[in-house]
Amino acid sequence: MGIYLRKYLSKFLFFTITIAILLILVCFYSATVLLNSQKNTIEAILSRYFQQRVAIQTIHYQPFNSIVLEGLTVLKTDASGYRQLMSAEKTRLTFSLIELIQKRKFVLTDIYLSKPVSKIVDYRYFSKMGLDKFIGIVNSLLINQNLNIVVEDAVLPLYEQDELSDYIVVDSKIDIKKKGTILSRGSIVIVLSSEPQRSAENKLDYNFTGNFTRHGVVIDNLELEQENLYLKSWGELEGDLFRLSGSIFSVRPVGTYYLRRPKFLDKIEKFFGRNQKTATQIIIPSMSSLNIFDLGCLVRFIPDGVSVENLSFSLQDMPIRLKGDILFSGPIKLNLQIASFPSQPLPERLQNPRRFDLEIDGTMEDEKFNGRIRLDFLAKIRAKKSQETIEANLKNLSFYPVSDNRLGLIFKEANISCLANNNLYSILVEDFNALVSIANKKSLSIEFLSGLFDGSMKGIGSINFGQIPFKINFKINIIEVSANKLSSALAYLSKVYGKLSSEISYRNYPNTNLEGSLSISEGYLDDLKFFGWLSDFFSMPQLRKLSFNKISANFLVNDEIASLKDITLDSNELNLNGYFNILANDLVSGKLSLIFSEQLLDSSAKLKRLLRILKEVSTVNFDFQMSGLYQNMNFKWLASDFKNGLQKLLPAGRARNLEQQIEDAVANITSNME
Amino acid sequence: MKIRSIIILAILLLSLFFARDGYSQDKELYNKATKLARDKQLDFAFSYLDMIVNIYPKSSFFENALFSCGEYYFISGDRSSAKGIFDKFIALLPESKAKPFALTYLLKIAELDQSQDAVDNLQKEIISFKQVSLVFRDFKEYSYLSALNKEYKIVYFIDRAEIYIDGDLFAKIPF
Repeated sequence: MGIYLRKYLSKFLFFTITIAILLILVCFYSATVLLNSQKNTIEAILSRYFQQRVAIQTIHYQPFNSIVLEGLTVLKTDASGYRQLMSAEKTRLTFSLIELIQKRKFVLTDIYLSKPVSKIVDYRYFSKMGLDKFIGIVNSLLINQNLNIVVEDAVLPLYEQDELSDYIVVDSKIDIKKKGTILSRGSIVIVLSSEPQRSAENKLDYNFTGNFTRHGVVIDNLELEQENLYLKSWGELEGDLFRLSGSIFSVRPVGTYYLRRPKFLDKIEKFFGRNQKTATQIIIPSMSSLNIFDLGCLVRFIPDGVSVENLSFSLQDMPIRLKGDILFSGPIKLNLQIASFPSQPLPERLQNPRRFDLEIDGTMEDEKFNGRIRLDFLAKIRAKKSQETIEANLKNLSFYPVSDNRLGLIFKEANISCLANNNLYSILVEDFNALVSIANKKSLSIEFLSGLFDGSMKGIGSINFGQIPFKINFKINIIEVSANKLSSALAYLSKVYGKLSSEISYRNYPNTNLEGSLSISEGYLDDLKFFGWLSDFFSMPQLRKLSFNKISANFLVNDEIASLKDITLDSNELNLNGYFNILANDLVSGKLSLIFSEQLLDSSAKLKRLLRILKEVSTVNFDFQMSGLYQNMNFKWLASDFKNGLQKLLPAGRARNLEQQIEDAVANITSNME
Repeated sequence: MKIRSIIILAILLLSLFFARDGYSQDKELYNKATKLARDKQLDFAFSYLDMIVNIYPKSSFFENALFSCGEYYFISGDRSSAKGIFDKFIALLPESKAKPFALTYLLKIAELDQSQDAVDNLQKEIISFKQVSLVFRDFKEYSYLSALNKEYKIVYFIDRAEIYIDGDLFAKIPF
């Protein structure tokens, strides 16, 4: 009997369980069928949430309190129709069973998004319109109920691309508490097709605590952390205004440092009735470098973009302020002004050697920048300070990834000018192509190749960011440029024709030093004042247009001296050798030696007659020395057989006359020197 | 008629004489000053020169008188007054041939005051006072005789300027 009863009960239990399972399965299936039948309604509800059209492939009910949306797609409407704004493989919505049973209310408790992918880059979301949408979505999620959102492997493109290759991967966990407090942690990883193995190094962790309000968000704490970067900030977004304060360190702090809290945060906390927290303690290492303190940001969201009203910070004791507008309608329009020591009174600021004003004005379209970059600064050349301006008008400037640690920079054309001491110098650079290599976090090296007028230019250099001012060194080769075309940069070359090549080496540490060599080959000097005077004086018209085989010199410019050494001019008419220095106090010193060729002597009846009289003299050479102030130079004809012979020959009155003529000529030549 | 013409001429000459009386006064003061300077009576000479500077600023002797007032103060060791006078001299009389010597006095004062910027600027001003071209000569020189009877000379070589007072080297500026 007992055995029979046990068997019966077992069968009954088995039967009941089977029926129950079947019933549950039927219920689940029915729920799934029911949900799918209500797909359009669910799509409509979600569309209202996201304020964009939402489409779902299939919906599953997942016991006991979850709904899984597969193939969720958010669509964006524009002139060309619908475009996929975002799609997610799997979205799981978990709801409160208690709320559903007790209050017949569908209350979400968890949202899980797996691999959402966006393919559209629309910077207009950074405008007032985008901001309003964002706040709207967030507010719709604030339902006086805890809500946890997990976003896993979200992919956002860095720029519009057919096949996603360069993008950002975001992992995020967001906890929305009942009273609107939001806690969020996560990471952002930049993935570049050129350097996939560096993704881990590019990982940026974030930690956010804040409170969303009807009109924005109060940021209690926003931390960003990477290998060599640690940002600690706080602020608020209220209406159109975004304010942020904080500091950025090159490593995570480990000592004690008290950050100043903005007063408005205290007021807000007081308003919300929260207890005031003690000032944030940040611990800073003594060996940290390139830290940014006193970060202050005030950004206004405007209809077509953002207006940066003030972004100020202190970098290595140098206060910097950024202001300007970025408009996202059509091509992106930029107008940004970056200034160091912005609050210093103008007279002191103009004499501050660390002062600079940088302005970027232009448009970005198809990842290309067209516009103007202008830099005003105080230059110190040969111990003299001068206000200088460098301006580059760029066409089609763009960056492109090349390989591991390398970035390409290219532009079609740049008209670069420099205004120094009221003199304007300019050059035209075409088809510029540079490779920027980031050797480590503190330095980068640059190799470039470009057209320069009708010739070319190539160079290599490096910039070390380890300290301010940055350590810069460059080596540049100028190849076969028509010398005369460079007269816009070097006025002396306006009368020099021929192909110029030059090797230039520049470094700004320990002191500024520019040196190199230049040579001009197969050209002519057209009506150079000095040779014009010689031509008239000795009746040698060929000196007015003096053809030469080669002109060469070595040059050096540093804080103490601007020097031309080993000057040589090799021509059939004459040879010239010498040197010329300008010192920091504007004093010059130089010696030049000029030897007339026999061919030239034969062409001058005046000199031939003179040489017949001066029997002992076979060559005509002028060795002269220069001294004094650059624009008021003294001149001395140094002793030579020719000079001594001539001096003996000339009567005193004629010698004085000749001296006066030469004095006038020298005064005339030097008075026009720049 | 003849007598009448003579009388008119005499009146004209007399009126001219009296009209030039003011000018003569400064000349007289200047002459007295230079005579006293030759007799080494520099204090008395200065008093007359100072009167010219203060009473006859438009006099043709003003230039020499002003320079020598500065010269006197420098000799007396009153550097501050000397500097004031020479600064005024350069501002009022930038074309004066005594300018390089006034600059040299200011240079000496700046050296004594250890004011390096002023030294550098004054050296440059002295160097640029004359642009010289030495064709058949090794130097050019410019001289000036002051109201205190001192003979100044500046000699420009290609690489230096030398300033002498009464034949003694007072300053040398290499360049």
